[in-house]
Amino acid sequence: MNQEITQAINRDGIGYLDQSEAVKARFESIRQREVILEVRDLGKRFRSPQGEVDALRGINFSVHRREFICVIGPSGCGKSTLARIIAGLDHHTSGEALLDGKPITGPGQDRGMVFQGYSLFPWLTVKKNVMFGPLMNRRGDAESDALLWLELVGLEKFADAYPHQLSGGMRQRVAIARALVNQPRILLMDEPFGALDAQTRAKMQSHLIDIWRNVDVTVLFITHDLDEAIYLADRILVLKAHPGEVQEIIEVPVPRPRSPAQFDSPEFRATKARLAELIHPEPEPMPEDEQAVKPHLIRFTNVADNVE
Amino acid sequence: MISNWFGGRMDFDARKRTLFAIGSFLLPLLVWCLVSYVPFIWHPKIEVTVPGGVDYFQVGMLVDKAQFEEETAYTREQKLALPAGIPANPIYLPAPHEVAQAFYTGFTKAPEQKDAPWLHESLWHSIQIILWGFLISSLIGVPLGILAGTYASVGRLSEPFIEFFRYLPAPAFGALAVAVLGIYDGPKIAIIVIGTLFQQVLIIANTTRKLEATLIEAARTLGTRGASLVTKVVLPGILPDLYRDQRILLGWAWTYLIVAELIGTSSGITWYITQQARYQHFDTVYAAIMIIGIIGFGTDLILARLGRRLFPWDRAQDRR
Repeated sequence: MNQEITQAINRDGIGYLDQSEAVKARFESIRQREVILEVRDLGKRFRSPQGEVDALRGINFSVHRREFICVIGPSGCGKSTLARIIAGLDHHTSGEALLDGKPITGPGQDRGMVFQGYSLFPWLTVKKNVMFGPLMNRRGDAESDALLWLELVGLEKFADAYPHQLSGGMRQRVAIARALVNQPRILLMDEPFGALDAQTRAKMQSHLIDIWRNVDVTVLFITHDLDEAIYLADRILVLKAHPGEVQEIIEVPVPRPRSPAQFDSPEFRATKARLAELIHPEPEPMPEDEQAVKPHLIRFTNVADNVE
Repeated sequence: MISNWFGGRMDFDARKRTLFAIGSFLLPLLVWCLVSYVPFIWHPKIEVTVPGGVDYFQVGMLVDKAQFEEETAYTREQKLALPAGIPANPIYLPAPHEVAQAFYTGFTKAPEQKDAPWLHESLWHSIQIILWGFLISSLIGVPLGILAGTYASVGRLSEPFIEFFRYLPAPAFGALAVAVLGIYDGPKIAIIVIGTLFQQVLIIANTTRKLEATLIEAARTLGTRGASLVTKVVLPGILPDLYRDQRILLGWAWTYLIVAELIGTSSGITWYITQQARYQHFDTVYAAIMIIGIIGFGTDLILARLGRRLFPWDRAQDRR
């Protein structure tokens, strides 16, 4: 594995830490902006049949306004838990999470969330789904707000359809519109495109970047897809599992504006190699029930009848 | 070929489905017709048409086949006039056309006793008992079930006892209900409430728990809290399933009706049935029992259709 990385660096002459002047300047300007989210020494410990488990331990990072942060890590590293704690759906057991300097104690409309599963209300039309937040918070003209945001995600024609009549990608667009109509300070996205097919996912990623470019919102995006993280993020928070701890916070050296053509750029490859090294340092031990499965292949066809 | 018969449920088109549904009613009817109209199938009795030399035989009397043959042999031996008869079924199994006729006359002919209620009056009384019982049960059971399903504390506090109580047979409370509520409609409604309520709370709590947790979490991140979580998310979220549960529970309420109406002074359709049975009008008994079935089944069909109108987003209904 290590060899591959040095090869990547050798071939392109670029490591993931090398930033061009433009990228350096961009990170400098991001650091000038105010801090929206600050996570200090955050920990989550829960009791399981195997005893106390640290889902998260000593998490420290801060997010600046309109920054795009991806959180990546192997399964079980607590990346979803982190998003849920910031959303206020789960409680942390140590440290603190501050939004605009105020500690997070429960869910609130200043943090929007898009879930992996379809979380649209099936009994409401698309428009009423988007109107849900404004109506709950008794704010402004809910309907015109909703239509505005539906237009932004390109679904104004489907305003009166029910969620079950939409495709997976369209449903997630509605979910994004529904979260953004509340004008949250930060948009939390918990593997929102995980259930989509590759083509739709690529489309949604570009669309999300477009939205983020045009709207004053900060994004914290959970994923397990390396390409997705690099393509979207300003910085990538890499977590490791058991216990969930920050391994590294990577500043993505791929310049903006991003396009799918950059997937093959040297910066992209170097970053991906580094992520791969962090996340799969050794082959994961196989679960026991998988180990018990040992196929014993018998030849059922004629010896001469070969397919390869 | 055979595999066609086991084809998935989905590829049953509407026409075929209707045909099979009608068939499911025609099959038992066919069996009933065969038993009633084909003389050599079953027919364990002989209906006497000519008494002959048997002194106790009368026209229209039903006697066992063996007894009839014995008497025939005896009269032949004694050189008396031979009795004659036709194969018949016992009085408790009337033929379909007799039941159909009784069905018709039940609504058109005044009852034999002067002050006795008509069939439709008895029925209407029974329907009122059911509706009141179901309404009272639902007023308590639906909110309690939803709360028990939404809030773990309410569920933990109420469900163990309810789980225990639902095993107590409702009719066992009959005597108690009469002592508390008198002999008229009160105890009957109480039995239906007792029979329905406890199942209702458990079923609805379960339905509520099956609601996608993500929906509640999504609503919370959108700023919903407190009571609006229940009224704006949980309730609309479970409504189609709640409606289905209520349909099933209404069916259960009907099954408690007959027992309930026997408590205190017998009333309603139960009184009608027992009266008719006392006079051995079994055709009318069958007709009255079938009316209960028709009303119950008919209501459910109407409610099912109404449900499709009310909940256009409910995808579970597409599959039926």
